[in-house]
Amino acid sequence: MKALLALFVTLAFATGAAAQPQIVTEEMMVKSPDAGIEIFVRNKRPAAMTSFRPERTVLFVHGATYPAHAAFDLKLGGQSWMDYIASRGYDVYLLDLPGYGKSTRPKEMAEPAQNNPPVMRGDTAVKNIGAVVDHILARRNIPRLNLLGWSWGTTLMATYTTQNANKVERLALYAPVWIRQTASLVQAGPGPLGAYRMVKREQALGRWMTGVPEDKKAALIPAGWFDAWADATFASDPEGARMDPPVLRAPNGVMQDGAEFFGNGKPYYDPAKITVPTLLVVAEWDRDAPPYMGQTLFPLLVNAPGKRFVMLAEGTHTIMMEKNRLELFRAVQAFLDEAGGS
Amino acid sequence: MTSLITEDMMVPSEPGIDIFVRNKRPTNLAKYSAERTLLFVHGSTYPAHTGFDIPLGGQSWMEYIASRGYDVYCLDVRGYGRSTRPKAMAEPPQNNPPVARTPDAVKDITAVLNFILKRRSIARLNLLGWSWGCTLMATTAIQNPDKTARLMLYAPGYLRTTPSPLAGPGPLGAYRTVTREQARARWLNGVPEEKQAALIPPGWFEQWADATWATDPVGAKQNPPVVRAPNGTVADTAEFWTSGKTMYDPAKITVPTLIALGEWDKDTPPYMAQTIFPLLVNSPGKRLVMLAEGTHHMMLEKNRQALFNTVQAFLDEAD
Repeated sequence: MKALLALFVTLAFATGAAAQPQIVTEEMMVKSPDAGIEIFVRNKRPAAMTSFRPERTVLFVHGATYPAHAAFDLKLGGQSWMDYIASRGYDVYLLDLPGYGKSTRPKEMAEPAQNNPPVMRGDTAVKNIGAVVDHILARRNIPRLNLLGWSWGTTLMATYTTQNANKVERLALYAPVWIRQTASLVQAGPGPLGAYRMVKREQALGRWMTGVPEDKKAALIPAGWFDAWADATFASDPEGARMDPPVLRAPNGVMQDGAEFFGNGKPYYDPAKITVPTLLVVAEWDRDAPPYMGQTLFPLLVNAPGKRFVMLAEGTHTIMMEKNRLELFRAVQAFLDEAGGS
Repeated sequence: MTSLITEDMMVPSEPGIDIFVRNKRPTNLAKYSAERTLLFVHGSTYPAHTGFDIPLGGQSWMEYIASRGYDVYCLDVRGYGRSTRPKAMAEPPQNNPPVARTPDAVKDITAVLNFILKRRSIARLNLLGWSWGCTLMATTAIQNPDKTARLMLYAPGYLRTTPSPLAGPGPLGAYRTVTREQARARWLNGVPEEKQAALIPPGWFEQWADATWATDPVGAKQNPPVVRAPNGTVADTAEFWTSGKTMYDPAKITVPTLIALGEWDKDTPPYMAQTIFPLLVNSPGKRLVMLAEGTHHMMLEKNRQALFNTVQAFLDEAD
């Protein structure tokens, strides 16, 4: 798969520590297997990087509701998680699935939601991820890369891995979802599922804070971070932004899958088919994908060598944008670094 | 590899009770700090020095930590290994009630803790416990928050909803006896059949068992040879953990705490660690790490390095 265009290349000088390498940013649209659809991909890497290796290449995908670029590459305190990984000598990619962020919206999303069935089911999402993986492998002439998923993205990355073990180096699942024993916090509203749902900024904060002890809420998100995230995230849907109140439209394929699989006592993929080293990492206050999900999934990964389950303190489903985000970064980085040396 | 010094010593706990302590550190270690000092204690059945300091594949866990610039200690609680055996252990077990209850063991640890702090003129050190040793170290940390830097719980026990592997039939005597064969069967409980053969590299079980059973010359004279293990821990388990009662309040732990365990642990199954973790509400930067293909005895198995890495990363972060 070939990139249609490289939008721009910028040189960003990391703020703070002088030892931080200079990071290159590249953005591209990758052709989806679905006609007329392009997938937004961003790449960051040290400017001086000249050789590319599977162990030093990472692709990130987002969860059910919000795009990747506005979270994984959101600069908080001067640095995004993507910057953090890239600055350690990695060639790092993120993608927004079609219907999310800066990728093409399926045409159903231009109509009233109830006119069409849910868009972007898991199988379609996995195919789109596959297109981006193939694009990166071809572009860098490498046989494999590391996959990192968040929330629904863990289901997608894990499913892709069960189907393409030979293209995956390591699998890192942040806030993994598994069979649900508690109600989902992602609500599509009453009635039959339409093509997409609409999320308001206030709902996002409410969902984020679910499960946080009352006395810990005030300090969880450093001042300005929620607004930084919400501004970037809600700006990624210009059509939704014009509504009053402004909304973010999110594809409902994930909701339909949830109703049929994890919400219905059925696994979406077979963990025994994962044969690469796998990390599960979850924060203790996660109520979107509560720790019991990762704990149930972990022993089922019977063929993942050197798998590991890490639970972190004082964080939610969104710990990557909270005061303890560095704990998450370290846990994932340690797992990635083990493969490659330095 | 870094050259290490080994020092063995006896530290008085109570009148008539001397505690065996081993220290290993780099020969060239010039200064001592809270962050770079660690004390290890064992679990319910086997002494510390034959597990934590057994050089499997040429290096013990103790040496692994010491060679990274740490001043490392381990101790045998009274009745275990090379520490004083309470008099009751020289009699038939049924003549006396269980010895070395949890508060006694905490006294022994506290004596050693204070001994090390004084010897090195440091204010705090790191505590690492295995199994019952987690209860001991957690209790010690609660009683001595100013003297504890970080707390590491390897395979911690907690409220028990599954049968204890240690409880036998009949009333509890002062101690119990364990044969090598019993030790091996308990070790492999919970390991998938097809994974059992490769779990313990050749020779490692024998090396560990030879060292461990040699610590009890009296038990060694029995046929088959046994290791005598104090029953205080078994009595406490019956009175507390299997009766729905906790022995300490995790909320009272105020230092960074790591919980690490292997997925196949059937002695203290993962549900215990998972119960403790959210209760550590006042432990900053706490972390739970579950590791692949390891049992309660993971520190003596082929994947021991994954455990060592996890604990080391947590220790090193303090610097």
